[in-house]
Amino acid sequence: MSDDQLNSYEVTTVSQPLDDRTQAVGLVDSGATQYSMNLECPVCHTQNSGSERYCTDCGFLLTESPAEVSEAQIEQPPAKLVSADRVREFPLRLGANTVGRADSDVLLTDNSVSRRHAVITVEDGRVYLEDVGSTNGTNAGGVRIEQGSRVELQDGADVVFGSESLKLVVIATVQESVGESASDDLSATADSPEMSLTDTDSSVATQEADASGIVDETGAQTQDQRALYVLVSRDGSLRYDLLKGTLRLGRRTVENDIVISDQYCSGKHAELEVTEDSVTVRDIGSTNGTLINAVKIAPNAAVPLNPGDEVTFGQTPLILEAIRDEFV
Amino acid sequence: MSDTTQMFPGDDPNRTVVGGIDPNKTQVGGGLGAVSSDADPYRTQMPSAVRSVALECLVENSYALAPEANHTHILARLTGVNAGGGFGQRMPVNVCLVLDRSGSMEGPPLDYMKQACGYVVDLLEPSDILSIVAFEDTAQVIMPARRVVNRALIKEHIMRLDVGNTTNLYDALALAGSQVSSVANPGYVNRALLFTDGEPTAGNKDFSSIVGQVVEQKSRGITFTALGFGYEYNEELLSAIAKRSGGNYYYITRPELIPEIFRKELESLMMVTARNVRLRIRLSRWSQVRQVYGKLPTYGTRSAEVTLADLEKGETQTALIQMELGARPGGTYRVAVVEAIYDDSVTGRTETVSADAVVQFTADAALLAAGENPMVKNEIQIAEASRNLERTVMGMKTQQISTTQAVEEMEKTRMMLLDQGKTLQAQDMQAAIDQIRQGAAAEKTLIGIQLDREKTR
Repeated sequence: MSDDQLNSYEVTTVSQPLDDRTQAVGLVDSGATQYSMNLECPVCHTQNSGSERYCTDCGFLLTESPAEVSEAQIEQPPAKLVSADRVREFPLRLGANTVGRADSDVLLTDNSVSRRHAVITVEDGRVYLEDVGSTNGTNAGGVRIEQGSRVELQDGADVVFGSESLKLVVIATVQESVGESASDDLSATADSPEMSLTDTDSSVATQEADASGIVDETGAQTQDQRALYVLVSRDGSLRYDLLKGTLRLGRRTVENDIVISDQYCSGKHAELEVTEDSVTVRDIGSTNGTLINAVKIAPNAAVPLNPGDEVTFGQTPLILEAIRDEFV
Repeated sequence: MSDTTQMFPGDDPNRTVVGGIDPNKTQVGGGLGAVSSDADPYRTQMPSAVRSVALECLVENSYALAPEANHTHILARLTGVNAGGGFGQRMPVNVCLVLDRSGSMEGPPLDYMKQACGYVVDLLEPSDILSIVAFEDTAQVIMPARRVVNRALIKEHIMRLDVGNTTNLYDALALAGSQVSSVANPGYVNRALLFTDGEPTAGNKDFSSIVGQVVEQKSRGITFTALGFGYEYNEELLSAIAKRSGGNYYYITRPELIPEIFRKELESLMMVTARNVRLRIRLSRWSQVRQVYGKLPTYGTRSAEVTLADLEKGETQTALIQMELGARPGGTYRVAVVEAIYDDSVTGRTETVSADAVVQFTADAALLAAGENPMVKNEIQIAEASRNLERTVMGMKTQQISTTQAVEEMEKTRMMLLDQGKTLQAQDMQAAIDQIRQGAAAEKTLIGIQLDREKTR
């Protein structure tokens, strides 16, 4: 997946960069003093430097308290379309979503897209696509859709409207609550790695999604559910299973696969790349850094982590252990 | 700034939008929530430098419903400030006159065109640069880019122009571009003035190739202004050339008006205070740009960028941006930071000014009515009318709508323009309606109206 894209931000002369990073502070080890300089956003838990008025990530006015709302009350769209370069997202809501160049739910201003181009319907945890008489046609998974016929889309499906290429991402957590009427199908799939909503090609669709990294992007599961390694604290109180794939690690409870509740750990702190026989760690620009065996690693570079190594995120040291087949 | 003040009188509630919704804090910018006698509310954000552009960011509604997803609009207003320098000081210009001398120009049109060019020569100063390209079957450089020192000699060259045959627009634009860019010094306001009375009939005649070339030259800092004369020229092509390069588009009906329009264009050119103007919308988490009206944004990671025309002193340009705001807990959020990036005529550097778009997310739906910003609402109305007008023009061309339907649509737009005090555009609209009623083609007038014209003066 494209780490560059996720982690590189334009440098400009603006005094308040609206980027994703926790603001850097001078020293790494003098914990208490640093903390007093930082303002944690009560909404997204990003650490902001004391001079920020609005959270650099979510924009929340830092002097306020957010309204009391549980995460469940904040209704995330059940699915979304993501542009090929992944910089644009188009949320899909339950029911019919119009796709077109004007007055549409999914608004694509490209001239190759018709005013009324297609309709995507999200219902019972499934996603359907219909071309409603576009000039330049709609493709799903490389196949042109007959006008007026409705096809079902898999998670990770490539959809092309005119010359606009998008990928469907079904948001896993909502899937469970969406499909009450189709609970027999969904009870089994809601948490399984094959997030497919339907029939025959599910494994193909899932592999495609994994290859493109789109599923990782949403924080959904990777294809292999079996933990290959584990990160544990010395006293055994913390234990994080490492599944195969790219895992995001940080303090924030959303968008991270591994959540570390340590104030010195950044909202988005590091990424772990886990394969059958290796683990690498990449610090993605954390405030207080990542240490391997007490040596700070450079940001934005993948560093191998071996079983027995101690890796410290913020002020949380963890030991990497491999899980052998015979123990499984 | 006096024009701005006229348009948006002192008791304008909109000024307070950014700051007004935040009861707890004093404004960063100082003047935002205060009385608008403070003519330039953003000065205080950038206390250390005098800049030629003031940026203001208004939100359609200062409230949005929480914890739901919302659509809203933000309006960025850029105003050219007469900052620094004395009166009469201006940036030097690097102008290329691109002149049609096809057969149809014979007689009064050619004579008036020569007269118009003479005016241009008189208005320019020795610090300015002029080049002249003329085209018929082929394009020729009549005068390569040089300082305007010997006015009499330049006029002599112009007077010698004679008519030829066809219209090779593509080659003429290419040649004009190479003349303007032959000047290495970046401190000039670059512009090519294209004057034509016809369709391209020689060389590359393809619409998208011609417009594509203009877009490419815009990326090298060259703006084209298109002056269409008579009834034969291709108004879609000319308006596209102007629009895509940030230049002006003029429709000239009678030959005796040619000199006046040339003079008008040159004066506007001399008022330019910010060049290469880009607007960048930096998005907070849960914010997306749905569209920027009349523009094709380029999207980056959590950002969208559009190009704007050169900004003149005292002139205001706007960009209307539709946003998608994702679900979130209630509270006040900066949903985006809008930045204008431009080459400043006063400092001689690339400068950035920024303004925040702030929305308060609340569970109290009753608050929504109080948060509406009428100025943004007006702009949305104009953007929609402009789209309808485009559709009307297209429908008339393809004869998919009747004259009666077209007149009805245009009448609606005219009333809306009157409501909003845009009397000039309303008059133009009336003229177009009259033309259609008399059975004449009105497309040129209609395209010339450009409701969504970002510029107001």
